[in-house]
Amino acid sequence: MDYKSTITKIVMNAVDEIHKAFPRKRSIPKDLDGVLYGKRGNIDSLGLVHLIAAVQNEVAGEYGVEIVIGSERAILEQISPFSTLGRFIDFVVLLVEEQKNGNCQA
Amino acid sequence: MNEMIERLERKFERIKEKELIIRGSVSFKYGWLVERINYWTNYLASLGHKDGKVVFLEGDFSPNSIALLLSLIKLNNIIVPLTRVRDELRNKYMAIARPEVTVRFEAEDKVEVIDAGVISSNNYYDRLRERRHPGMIFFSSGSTGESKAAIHDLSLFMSKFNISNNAYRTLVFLLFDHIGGINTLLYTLHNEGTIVVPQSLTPDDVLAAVEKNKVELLPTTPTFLNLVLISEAYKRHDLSSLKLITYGTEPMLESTLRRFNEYFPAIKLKQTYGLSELGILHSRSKGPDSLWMEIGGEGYETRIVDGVLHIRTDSAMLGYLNAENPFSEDGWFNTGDIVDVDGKYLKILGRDSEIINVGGEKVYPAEVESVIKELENIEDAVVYGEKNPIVGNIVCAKIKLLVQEDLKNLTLRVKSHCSGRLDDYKVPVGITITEEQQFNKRFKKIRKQDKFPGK
Repeated sequence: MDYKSTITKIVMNAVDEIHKAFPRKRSIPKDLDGVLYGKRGNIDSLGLVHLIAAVQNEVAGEYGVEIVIGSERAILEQISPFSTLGRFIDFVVLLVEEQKNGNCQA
Repeated sequence: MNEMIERLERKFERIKEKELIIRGSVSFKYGWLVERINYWTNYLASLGHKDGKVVFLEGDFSPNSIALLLSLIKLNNIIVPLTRVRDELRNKYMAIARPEVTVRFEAEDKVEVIDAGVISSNNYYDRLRERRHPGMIFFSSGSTGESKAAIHDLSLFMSKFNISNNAYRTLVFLLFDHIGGINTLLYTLHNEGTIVVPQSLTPDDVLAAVEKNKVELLPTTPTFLNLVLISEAYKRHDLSSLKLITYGTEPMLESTLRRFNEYFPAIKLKQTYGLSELGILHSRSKGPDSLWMEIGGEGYETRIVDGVLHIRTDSAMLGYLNAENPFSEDGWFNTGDIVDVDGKYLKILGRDSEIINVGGEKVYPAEVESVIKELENIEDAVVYGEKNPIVGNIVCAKIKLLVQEDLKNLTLRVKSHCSGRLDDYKVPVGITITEEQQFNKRFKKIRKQDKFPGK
């Protein structure tokens, strides 16, 4: 099953929600290759945890699985899943696939 | 025999026609209390009951339980006042206090006295027996951990009541096993007031008792005042007799205080400060709508160490029956309450154990709860911390709604409102909806939460 297009929509909607909830914060460009979190990133650590929470909730609603994005595993990845929006989406897709296939490593 | 109670009996004799207690449609006078103290003292003597016994007194505020309580104090007993609790908890308390006698009030104020046939002894009991002073043991609610048994020398505890104050018609809101409840009772008796016992502690029953009995003083908790607003019970009852509402035991939300003052400008709201370990301190609010207060009074010293309030007083508890002595060598007690200071005034920000540390920044749950409650359709909100690998902890809120609402919509409303009113690190990340009440039987918020769903 191809999760990527749906999860991309979920993440983009979550970005919109962050913009609505935190109008004073710098907006996050919906550019898959733009820096998300990190040097010259468009989001701070708190923005990131809000984004993660919003995506986790939406994924639970959409697929009926509970994923943990902000885990030790994510932090220890050689290439951070939070470095760009594209990598973030790929990481969420991976977690959903693992959950759906019963292979939970988070 | 205890001299303080004998002095009180002489006082009660002088005011024997005055109403002592009103419970439902029945009322008893002070003259009845004098007779009943005599009755119970003689009854206990007939059972061979001696000074210094450790007695479990299980009941609530009833005419007989008050009379028996005073008789037990008169006999310099060590009393453990208890309300009905689960058997498991009762057994735990029994194992800690090891009562020699159990007195249990059944329905219709009937009494059962059981001698356990044991002799209890420890350093605290022995000290009280040597002094020939009555004692009292209060179990903390254990809302943030194990319940601790604080043992007091009642002669020291009651010494502050020697100064005469206002004789109010007072509703007993805090329970029989709570230091605040016993304090209300003893304060009222010393000042020749009248005690009103509500049918239950729901907002409507409490306010109905206020209206019917023209109650002047209502000692309560911030959580209960929230419930009064949410239930709109204040619209259904005439509260014009109320002169003073005191609140304590947990931080008050500024939003609740503002709303209450707006609705009831004639009622004075006063914050109190007390702990099971220290008793109830004298306090004076900076203003009716202010959370700043001056605390202490005669016999109490205060100091602030690293933002935490410490108190020293001769009338503090003797110690815990089931925990290490918490006093410093020179007698100071660390309250664990984080405070702001402005000259002689203090503002309680919260318990240090409840503070949420988000990436090194401190978040006080009460502040966030207050802001969430400014929104519409919120019955109650409890804010707590959840471990988070990215920022250490995140702020979460469990919300009880007035009418059903979509979680996504609620989340957006809460976050938008909070981000406009609070620093970003204080804005709740995790938001859940609950149907359950979020306070315990003492009307205190429960912040110990299960794992945050989905995290």
